[in-house]
Amino acid sequence: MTHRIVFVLSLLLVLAGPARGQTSMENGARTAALGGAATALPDVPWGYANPASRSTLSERVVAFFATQAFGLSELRLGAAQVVEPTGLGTFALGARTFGFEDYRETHLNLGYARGVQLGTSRRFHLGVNVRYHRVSVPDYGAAGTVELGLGGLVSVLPVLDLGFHWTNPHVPTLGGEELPRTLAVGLHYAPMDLFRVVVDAYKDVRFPLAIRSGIEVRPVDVLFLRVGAATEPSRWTAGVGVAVGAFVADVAAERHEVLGWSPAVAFSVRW
Amino acid sequence: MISRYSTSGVLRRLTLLPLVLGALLLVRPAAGQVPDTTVSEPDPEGLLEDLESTTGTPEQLAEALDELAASPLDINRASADALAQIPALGPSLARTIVAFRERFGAFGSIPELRSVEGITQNVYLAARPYLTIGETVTPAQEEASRFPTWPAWQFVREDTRYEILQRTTRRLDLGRGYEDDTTRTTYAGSPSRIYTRLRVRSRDYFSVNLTLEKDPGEAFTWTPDTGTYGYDHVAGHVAIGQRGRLQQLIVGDYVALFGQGVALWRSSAFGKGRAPVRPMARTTRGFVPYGSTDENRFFRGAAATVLLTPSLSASAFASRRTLDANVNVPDTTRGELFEDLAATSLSESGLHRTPSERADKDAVQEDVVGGGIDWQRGGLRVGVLGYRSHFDRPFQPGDAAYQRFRFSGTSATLLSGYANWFVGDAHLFGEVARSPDGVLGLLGGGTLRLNDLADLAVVARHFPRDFVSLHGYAFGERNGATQNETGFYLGLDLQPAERWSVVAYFDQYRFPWVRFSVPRPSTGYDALLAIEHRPRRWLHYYVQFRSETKEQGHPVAVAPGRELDGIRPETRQSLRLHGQYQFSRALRLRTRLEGIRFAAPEQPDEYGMILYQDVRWLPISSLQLDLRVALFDTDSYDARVYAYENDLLYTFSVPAFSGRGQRSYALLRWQPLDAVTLQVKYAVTRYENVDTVGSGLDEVDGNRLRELRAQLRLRW
Repeated sequence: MTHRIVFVLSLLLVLAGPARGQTSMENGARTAALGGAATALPDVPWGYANPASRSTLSERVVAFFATQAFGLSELRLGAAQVVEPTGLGTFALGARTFGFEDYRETHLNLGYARGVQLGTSRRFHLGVNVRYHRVSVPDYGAAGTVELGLGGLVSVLPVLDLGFHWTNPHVPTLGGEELPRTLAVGLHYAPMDLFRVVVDAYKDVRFPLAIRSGIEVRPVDVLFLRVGAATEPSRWTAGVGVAVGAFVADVAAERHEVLGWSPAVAFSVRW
Repeated sequence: MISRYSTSGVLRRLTLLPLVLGALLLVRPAAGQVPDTTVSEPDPEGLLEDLESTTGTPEQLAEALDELAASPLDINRASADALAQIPALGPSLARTIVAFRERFGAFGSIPELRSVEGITQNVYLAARPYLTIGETVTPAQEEASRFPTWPAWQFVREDTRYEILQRTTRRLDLGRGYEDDTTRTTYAGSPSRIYTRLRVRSRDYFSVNLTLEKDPGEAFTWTPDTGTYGYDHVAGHVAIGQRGRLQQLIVGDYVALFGQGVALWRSSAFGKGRAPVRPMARTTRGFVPYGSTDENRFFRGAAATVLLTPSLSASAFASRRTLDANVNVPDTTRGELFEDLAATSLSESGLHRTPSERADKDAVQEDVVGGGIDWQRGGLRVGVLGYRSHFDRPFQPGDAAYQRFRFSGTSATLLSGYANWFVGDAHLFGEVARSPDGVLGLLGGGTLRLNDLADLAVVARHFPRDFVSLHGYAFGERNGATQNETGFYLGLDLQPAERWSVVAYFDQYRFPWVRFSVPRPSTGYDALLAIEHRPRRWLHYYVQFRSETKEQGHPVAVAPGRELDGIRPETRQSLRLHGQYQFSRALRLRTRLEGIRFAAPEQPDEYGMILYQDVRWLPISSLQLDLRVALFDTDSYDARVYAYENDLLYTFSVPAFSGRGQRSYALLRWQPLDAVTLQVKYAVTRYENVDTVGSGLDEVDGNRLRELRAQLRLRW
C-alpha cells in the first residue's frame, strides 16, 4: 500500500501535475472530449477553461462531473456547478474535490460573467472566477489559498469566436509553492450548427506551450460526437454527448501515451 | 521530467495553423455584423518592431512617427518631400499624390485619396493616421510667388503649438549599482530617468526646442566643468523655414539627411522589416531640427538651406560638439597627460553613471563643416555634398584585425553625389561617396509599381572594408554601419486580392573583412515572408516567417585541447501568428503566438516562444487603458523573443525576453482636457527558476523586474 501511495504521489507531482492543473480534467466531459480546448467554446458552465463562457449561457444550469485519471481511484475527481443567468450578469457557484484519503484537493468557486456591448449591437463577454483552493495531506496538515481567473470571449465573425483566459495574476502560493499561472488563447469555429472546431494555445508559465484541438459534430439533433488531440503531454481524446430536452449527458475518454486511459462523465440539466 | 527541447514540436505544429485558419475564414462570408469601426490608428509596430538588426536605436523613428501622427500632413498643402515621410507612401506615391492634386485640383475629402493610382486599401489605411485635410491652396496663390511664402502672422500665431513634456521612468527593483557601497563601484545618481522637453512650433515655419535628459544612474548635478547642467544631456534648437528663399535655418542641434545616407545621414532610418519596399527608397530631406534623446546622432552649430532658384538649392552647415570616446589611461610614470593621448573609438552608449563612463565623456571635440547643392526638375533630382570633419584628439584604433580599417587620424573629408529619378511608376536612386584615400562606397536601387498589384524594390550596396563614413547611415544588414559590407536586397509588396497582402524580402550580404568577434570574412542571408488577410475592416491577421542565416565567430577544434578562431553559420527562424480585432471604438484585442528556432552546427536546435494577449479599452473617450499578458519560454538567449509594447508617447519599446516567465503591463492614458495628456505605465516581468536577473551593476536579487513610467504632456 505504501508503495502505491508513493507511486501515486509521484505521479501527481511529476506527470499528472501539469495535466491536473489544466482544463481537460476540470472543465467537464465535453471539454475533455475536445482535447481540453475550450477557451473560446461558448455555453460551458464550468469556468476552468474560461469563466467568460458562462455569460453565453441563456438558461440556468446545474452540472455534475466525475473523472478518474488513468483509471486510478486515487486520482478521482468529482465536481458540481450551478450557473444562474440574471439581468445583472451570470453568477456561478461550484465545488470540486480531487484525490484520496492521503491527499485531498478541494475547490470552492464563485463566478461572475457578463456581456458588454460598448455601444455596439454585439457582446464582448467577460468573466471572473474566484476559487478557494485547499490541499490537505493528513500527515502534514492543510493549507489553502485563493486563485483567480480572468477571461474574455467575443465573436470576431459570426462563425468565429476568440477567447482568452489568464489565471493567477496575483501569483498565489500554497505551502511555499507557486500555483500555476497560465495564459490560454483559443478559437472556436462553427460554420454550421452540426460542426465545430476548437483550437487553443495554452501556456503554463512553468511548462512548454501546449496546442489543443477538438472537433464536434452533431449528426442528429440529440447526439454529439467529439474527438480531440493535445500536446504537452501528448494525448488523444474522444467522447459522446446526448441532449434530450433539458438533460445533457456527456462521456469522454482520454488516452495518454504513457499513462493510459482516463474516463470522464458529466450530466447537466438546463431550464 | 520536462525536456529542455520540448518546445521543438511547437514550431512544426504552428505551421499548420495558418493554413487551417485561412481556410476556415474563407469558407463562409460573414453576414449581419455591423461594421461599427472604421478607425485607423497609427501602427508604428508593423514598421518598427522587426528592425532588430538595426544597430542604432529606432527611438528617433518612433518619435518621428508619433510627431507625424500628432501633427498630420494636409493632403492639399503638403509637399511631396513631406508626404514621403509617411512610410506607407514613400517618395514615389508622395509624388503621385501631388501630381494628382496639381492635375485634378484639391481633394474634397481624405477618402478621395483612394482615387490616386497606387493608393490601395492597405496603403490608405496605413497612411491615414498621418493625414489631415484643411484649407485648399488655389493655384493662383501658388503661382504668385516662385518661392514658399510665410502666411500672415496671424495665421502663424494661431497655428503655433506650445508643448511641455515631463517624463520620469524608474525601475522598482534595483541592482547593486544603486547600493551605498563605498568599497565598490556604484552609480553616481538615482535610478530615475528624467526627461523634460519644451517646444514651440508652427509646422515647418519655425520651431524652438529645449530637451533635457538624465539617464538612470546618472547624477543630477550642476557641474559646468564637466558640461553637466543638472540634466546630463541637453539638446535644443531655434529653426525657421519656408520663408522665401530661405528654406531652412537652424541654430543649435540638427540632423542632416542627404542622398541615400552613404555619406551623410545623421539620424536613424528604416531598415529591413515588414514594410519591404517603400521605406527602402530615401530622398534628401536636408536639415531637420533635433530635440531627441539620442546623445550621439546629431550635429550642433548652424545649418541653412537656401533656394537659389525654385529648383536649385544650396546647403551649408557647421558643427562643433564634444563626443564620448574611449581613451587609454595615461601612464603618469612616463609623463603622459590625458590631453595628449589618442582615442581608440567613440563610445555611443550616452551613459555617464560610473567613473569609467564619466572619464569617456566629452573626450573628443569634433568640428564639421560641409555643404551641398541639390537640383531637381521634373522627375530628376541630383545633388552633390561634401564635408570635412576634424577631431581635436587623434584616433588610434587598436591592433586587432577587426580594428584595422577603422577611422584613424584627426580629420576626414567625404564627398558624395546622389540622384533620384522618378520615371513612370519607377523610382531609381543611388549615391556614390568618396571617403579619405579615394575609397568609394556605393548604393543603388529602384522601386517599381506594377499597377496596384505589386511593388518591387531592388537595392545593391557596396561599402568596402576601408570605406570610412563618419556620419553615414545607409541601408544594410548592419543598418547604420556603412562599412565593410556588400549586399543585394530584393523586396516585394503584393496585393493579390482586395483583402490580402503578401510582403517578402530577401537580402544576401557579405562582410569582406573580419568584424568584432567574427574572426573571418563572413556571409549571410535574411528572408521574410508575411501574408496578411483583412477579412473585415475591423479584423486582420497575418502569418510571418523570417529566417536569417549568418556566419558568426565560434572556436573550431583542430586537435584535442587546441582551438582556433573560426566561424560557423547560425540560423535564426521565427514563425508568427498575429491577429487584431477592433470590437468597437472602445475595445481592441490583439493576440500573438510566435515561435523561434535557433540552429548551429554540432549542437541541438534551441527553441523559444511567446504568447500574448492585448486588450485596449477606452471606458470613456478621454481614458485609454492598454493591458498585456505575455508568457515566454526560450531555451537560450539565442532563441530569445522580441515583442513590441505600447509605451509612453514619443518612446519606443521592443524588449527581448529569454528564459521562462511572464511579462505584463498596464498603460493608462488620460486626457482630461485637449491640452493635457497624462500617461502612466506599470510593467512587471517575472522569471522562473532564477535567483537573480540581469548582470553587473544591474543584477537584481530575486526573479522579478518592475518598472514605473509616467509622462505629462501639456500642449496648446
